[in-house]
Amino acid sequence: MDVNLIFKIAAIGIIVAILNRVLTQSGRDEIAMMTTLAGTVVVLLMIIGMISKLFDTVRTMFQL
Amino acid sequence: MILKVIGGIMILSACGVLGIAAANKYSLRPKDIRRFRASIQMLETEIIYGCTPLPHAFNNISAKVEGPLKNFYSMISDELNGGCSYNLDTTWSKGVNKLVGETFLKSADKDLIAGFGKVLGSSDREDQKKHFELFYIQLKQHEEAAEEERHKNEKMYKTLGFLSGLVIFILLV
Amino acid sequence: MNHYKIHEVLKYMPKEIKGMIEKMQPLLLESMEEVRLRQNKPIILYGGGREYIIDKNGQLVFDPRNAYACTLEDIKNAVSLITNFSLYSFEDDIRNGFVTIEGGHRVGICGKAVLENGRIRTFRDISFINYRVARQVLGAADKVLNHIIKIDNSIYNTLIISPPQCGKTTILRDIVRQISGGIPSMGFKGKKVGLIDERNEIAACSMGLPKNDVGIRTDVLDGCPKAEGILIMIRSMSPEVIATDEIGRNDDAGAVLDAINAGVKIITTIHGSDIEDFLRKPALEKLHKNLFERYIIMSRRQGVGTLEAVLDINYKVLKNGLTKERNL
Repeated sequence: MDVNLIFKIAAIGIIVAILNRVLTQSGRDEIAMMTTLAGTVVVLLMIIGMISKLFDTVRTMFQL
Repeated sequence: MILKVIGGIMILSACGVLGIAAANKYSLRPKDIRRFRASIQMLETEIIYGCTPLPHAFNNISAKVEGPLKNFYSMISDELNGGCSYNLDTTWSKGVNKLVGETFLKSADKDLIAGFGKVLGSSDREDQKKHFELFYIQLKQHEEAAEEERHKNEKMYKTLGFLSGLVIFILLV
Repeated sequence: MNHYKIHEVLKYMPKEIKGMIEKMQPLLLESMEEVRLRQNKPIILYGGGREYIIDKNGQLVFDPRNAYACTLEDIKNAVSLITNFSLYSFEDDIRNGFVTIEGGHRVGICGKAVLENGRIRTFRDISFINYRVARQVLGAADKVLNHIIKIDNSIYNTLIISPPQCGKTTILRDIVRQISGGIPSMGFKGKKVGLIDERNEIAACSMGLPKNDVGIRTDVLDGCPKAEGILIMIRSMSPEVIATDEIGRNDDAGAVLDAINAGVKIITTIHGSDIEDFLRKPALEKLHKNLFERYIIMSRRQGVGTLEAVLDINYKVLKNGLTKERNL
């Protein structure tokens, strides 16, 4: 559980939001959508390890 | 720690510069068109009011401008004077091709400017004046289109550049 | 002295045609007086009273079908070269049907006339070009000078009457040169000459410098209309002699009269074959009587520069017939 990770995710979120705004403003909606999608995927990749650990923890907890 | 910071700054500046370079294509084109139009206005004065023959006129203008335009006009002037060309159209086109490579003018601009070479110097004063006026109008249209593109793209590419740098930094750190 | 003149003219022809002509025999080439380009027709050169047709290798041919025919492209390029790529700066010249190129050579052009209010504004679609080689002949005036010079170191008001292409401009140029420079052999001290070179043919000024020798005491108004030029010259340069070529209009006559009344001597020329041609010109009526003191009639009868006759102020013949002339 890394504080850094939270900051990173937050930063990526903000950046994606700004990018989205700039891109829609200049009319490139499809690229904006793709950026948002990409951002989500990147964040997911970053925390996929933790999510799997979360599920493991829940499984072990309930099998107990 | 300090290495991270340096690395970060490097990534940020690299991506930022890329973004600015991409943006320049759009932000500097109107300026180049304007500069070119100013030089054409000088040419018109030389022709309509001074009746100066083209090779001399080009020389005079070359002395008054800077950068790629300077080379453009002096190259054409030299070729016409040197007797290696007897067709203004071909020499002008050659110069225009080179000019477009050295500035931010697009190929649409190139076609327009090259077309002017076909009528330059080949009719009397009144006719030339009309051609010049038409050319100004067309240049203005191109300039306005370029401004619009700039408005749409300049900010976008700059932002894109910096933010991508930031993202990469964050991902790597 | 004149061997480079044809090359001055060739510079204003499209490269390929120039190359073809340069392949001609050098001696023959240097005697050429005219080169004519016509669209879709052979190139014809004129020299010494004969015509020459060449093919694309510069060889003389006698059958026009074997000759090189000028293309529209050739003509367009020639016009570009003649006008220095700037048709607009030769508007007035083109309206008069010819352009004078560097060296004082006249290039005549023909095409479609563009009219405005019934007058010619310019020519379009030029498809006939005639290059006329101008030559300076030092000494061309020798045979007439003793008729023009007066005892008291002055000259007679002189009118040269000549058909086209007889060397009148050449002779006028030489008269100017010798009067301006002085003629030691005749005890004649040079006089201040004002030359109005409307068609840039006599002095052939280029960037202000005469390409032809017109004498050390000569001032040149280049490309200036005659009538105004004469008045300007009298007012500003205090000439003793005024020289100009081809007067023909009413205001030319008025200016000449003003000059004579101001005490300035005049040397000028008109187109014509004899004295009647002069007297029949209504526009020059004010000059008909008692103004010109010498009339010099020229022709081509024995080659360019043939002196037919010299008349005095009352049209009495002073000298008749032909003298032995130099080859011009």
